[in-house]
Amino acid sequence: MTSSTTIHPDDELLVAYLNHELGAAEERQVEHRLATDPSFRSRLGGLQRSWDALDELPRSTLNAASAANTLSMVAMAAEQERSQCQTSPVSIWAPRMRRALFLAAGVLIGYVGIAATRRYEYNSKLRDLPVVYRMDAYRAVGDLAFLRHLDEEGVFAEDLLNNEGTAPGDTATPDDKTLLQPPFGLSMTTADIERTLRQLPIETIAEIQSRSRQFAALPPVEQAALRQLHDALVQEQDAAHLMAVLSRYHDWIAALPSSDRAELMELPTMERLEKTRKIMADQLRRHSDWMAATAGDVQHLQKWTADYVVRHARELLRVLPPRQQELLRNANPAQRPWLLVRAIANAPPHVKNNLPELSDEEKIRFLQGFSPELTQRVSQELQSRGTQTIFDIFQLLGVHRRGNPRRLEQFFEGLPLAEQKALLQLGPDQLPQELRERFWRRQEAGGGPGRRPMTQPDGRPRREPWAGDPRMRDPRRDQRRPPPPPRSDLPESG
Amino acid sequence: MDPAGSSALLSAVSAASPAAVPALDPDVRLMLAVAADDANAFEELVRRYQPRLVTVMRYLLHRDDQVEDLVQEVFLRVFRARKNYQPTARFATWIFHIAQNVAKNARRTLARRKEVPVPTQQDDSRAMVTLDQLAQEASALMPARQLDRSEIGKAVQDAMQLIGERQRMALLLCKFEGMSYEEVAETMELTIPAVKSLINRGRTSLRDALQPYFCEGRPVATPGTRSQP
Repeated sequence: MTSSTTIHPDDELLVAYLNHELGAAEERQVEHRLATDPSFRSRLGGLQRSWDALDELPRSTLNAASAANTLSMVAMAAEQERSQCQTSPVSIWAPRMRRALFLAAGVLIGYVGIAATRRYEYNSKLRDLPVVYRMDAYRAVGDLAFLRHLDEEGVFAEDLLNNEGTAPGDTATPDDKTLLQPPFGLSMTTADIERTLRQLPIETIAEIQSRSRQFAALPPVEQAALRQLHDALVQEQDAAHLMAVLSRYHDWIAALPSSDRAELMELPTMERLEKTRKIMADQLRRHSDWMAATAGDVQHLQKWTADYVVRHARELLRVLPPRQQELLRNANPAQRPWLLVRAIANAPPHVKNNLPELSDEEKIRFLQGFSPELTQRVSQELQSRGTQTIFDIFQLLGVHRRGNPRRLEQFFEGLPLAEQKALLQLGPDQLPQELRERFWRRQEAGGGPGRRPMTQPDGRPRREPWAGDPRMRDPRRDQRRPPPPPRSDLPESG
Repeated sequence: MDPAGSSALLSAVSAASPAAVPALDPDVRLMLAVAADDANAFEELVRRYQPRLVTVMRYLLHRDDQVEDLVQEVFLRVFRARKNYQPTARFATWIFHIAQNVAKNARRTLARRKEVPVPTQQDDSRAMVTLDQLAQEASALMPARQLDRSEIGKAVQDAMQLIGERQRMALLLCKFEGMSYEEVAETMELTIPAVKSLINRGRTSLRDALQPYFCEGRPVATPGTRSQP
């Protein structure tokens, strides 16, 4: 407290001057001093400014509920008074106070009702936030059945950019460890969401605001469908795994040319799946020279990139939008380098164009680690695309490695015996490559050899574990989906 | 106002000394009607004074959870004292004098109990924040912040906590209620020179408390915090 401070004589004089309490001569003296003494002037300025600042204190307005409470309390006091003075005639207050009591009760009920309604609406909005944040990814898959099919295909089940920086093995269980990991976990309560919301940085809040507006602009039917997908997903035992598949599919679809993207999003479930396969096969064909990549190439790429990203983290971070910078700064340090790689790999071209140049020494070291078959290809890429080559290679190799060993094994087992024998004639280096090529050729042809066999070992048709589950029913399966409104988070052209 | 109330008011007004009744103060007339058991007049007084009392109490005590109860207590005292009400000054000086006493008692009780504020139902509903509010709050943490009104308001609220209670009361009455030195003196039961001194000290204390904020953009150090170097 500063109440005990003694007042400076100048301040006393200045307050009197401000209150026009001085005589004309004193006022002239003060004004003369103000013109010549900066510290005196500063004292006056401070006094004036702080006095004016009092006007900025928020003032209360009439609170109807509180006023009604006051009146009813006074009414009760009046009643009490009356009952204590039994001899007095019927008080004039009684009927009025009764009326005030009724009024107060009415206002109170109304207030409680309005508060409850507001709380309900508020909680609904909170509950929607996890859906709102994942809206684009959810719209990309449309329904749980499609997501299950994607998972079954296995093409989005693993990623080169896992958090440990090693080539993903068959035993790895992918988690929702993507950069797009939303601030709101899948199983958060409204209280958790509210708490999280208060801790978010401004950039994230601004983004949620923008997404909320987009969500609100969707037709109610589509909003309900997205909520339904979220609820169904949350209840799945492997929700985190499915979410990772969903997130990778969303990353993949986001990098497609806008025409492919639009077409994919309009198609019903099964046709969309076919189209996805077709686009992936096209990608594979266009970059067939990357097929030569060996496990050693992938290991070198991961090791070199981890080292590069750690050394240049600050410069690399700077090219990303502020929201992603914030998310990355708050990410688990072990995951941070891979999240950064993922963010840049999935960034639009204008972001990749701003990447820092690789030094000659870095280029040499980068090229040296690849197998001879791949070195020339990487070198060409490096010359034409510069630093973004590193990040593009992740995507290119990712596409090829998506025919993962487990799937290839299943594929092999499903082949006719003669074909199996022919393949076994090949050397250990050629076999996986040949198998992968055949796998993808079948994929392209729509045969889906990478998918699980449609029959069970005993010959009975395979019943999908989710078949018959009403949550999995896609009412739009056989209908064309309405064209989606324009999205803000995707580049205009691939 | 019903005829009974009007006649009671008239008789009360005529019974008082004409010189003593500030006839131009409509609130005095309302209070006289209340003294004559006019419920509508009391309702009108509540409507007029409740927000003003809440504002002053809020900055006097800095206990949002208690303010409305205390304002109710003020009105209850007004009601109980209606029969003895003497219109010797503006009604505002009388009701704010009661408010000051209620605040003083509350401060004493709180100090004895060392209460920790518990979020009430109303606090809970206040906790419902919109994204816009959150964005606004978060933007205040950014270095290149704009000195918007709400931010200044918050700084002044913090600065007010650093000022002595009596200085604060004098400043609030002067600034918010537009009271003269004489009226503040009457409300606070002080002499006019004492009020002058209180206000002078209050203004300089407020300036000193706000100086770090205005000059360097640093937050005002509240009693629970230390000002940063």
